[in-house]
Amino acid sequence: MKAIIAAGVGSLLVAAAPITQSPDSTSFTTLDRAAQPLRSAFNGDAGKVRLVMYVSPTCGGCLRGADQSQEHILGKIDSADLSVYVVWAPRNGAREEHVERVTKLVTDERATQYWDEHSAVATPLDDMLSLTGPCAGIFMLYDGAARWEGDAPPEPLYWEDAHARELGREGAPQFDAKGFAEKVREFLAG
Amino acid sequence: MRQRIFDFGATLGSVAAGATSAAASICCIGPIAIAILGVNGAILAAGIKPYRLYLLGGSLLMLGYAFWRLYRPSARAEAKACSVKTGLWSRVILWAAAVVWVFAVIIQVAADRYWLSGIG
Repeated sequence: MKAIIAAGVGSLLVAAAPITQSPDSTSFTTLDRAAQPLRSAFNGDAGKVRLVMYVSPTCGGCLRGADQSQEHILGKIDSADLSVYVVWAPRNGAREEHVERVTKLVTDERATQYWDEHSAVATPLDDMLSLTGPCAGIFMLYDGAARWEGDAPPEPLYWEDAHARELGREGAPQFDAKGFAEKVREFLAG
Repeated sequence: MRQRIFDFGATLGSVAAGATSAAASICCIGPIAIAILGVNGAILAAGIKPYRLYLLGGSLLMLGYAFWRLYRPSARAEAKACSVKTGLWSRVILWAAAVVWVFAVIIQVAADRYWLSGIG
């Protein structure tokens, strides 16, 4: 009888315990051809400022941008009104097996990470932003009113390019994490 | 003695700068870069990449200085005056450093062409 009670209490304790992730374990979700579940998450966070990172897991410049974003943006701005989506894209020879180890660069709990297996996000963004060259490295900001209605993500209100200088892309300024953090603060204040 | 240390330092500095420049060039070329440098290495290399030409130039200057020190006419005269063969290892290391520098240039050119061709 005592053993049964002990087992029951133990089960209740296990069931009630919060499921916590160790700081070192991160994960990602693979997007389908309709960019789900990112599209639903993006629209579900309407009202919040949203930061979307379009990066490649096999590009040093993209990885540096993600790392600096964690340090200078997410590490310095603790507002709950900021949501972050890290979209790891099949650019620069990247495959799904390359993603897991780089998800550890962005550990903020406001960030969710995705693998864009079908380029459902990457291809429309390449077209929208007129991106050239082999790599992504785009950091985009949306305000609370932005909604993802069509097949393509909405056009960002502000964006910076981690490869603007070296690839000669003139559509956006060179990504600078500290400067971008100021932009995030402006969006949050606005 | 101090001069030999200085000369060796110039050679070593040339190798280090050339190798760093080469590593910075491959930071972004794809999965092979991550395999060679690791994630943190690729991030570091990406940070250095804007300065790789300066590194290569500095490396060449140090290499040039080291070659001049070893092969200048007065150095050859001093070597002839000595019955013992000197400077053999200095020459070997210096020429190896020159090979490293040429290799670094080749890597940079090849990495840029490979990367800019847009292999997605």
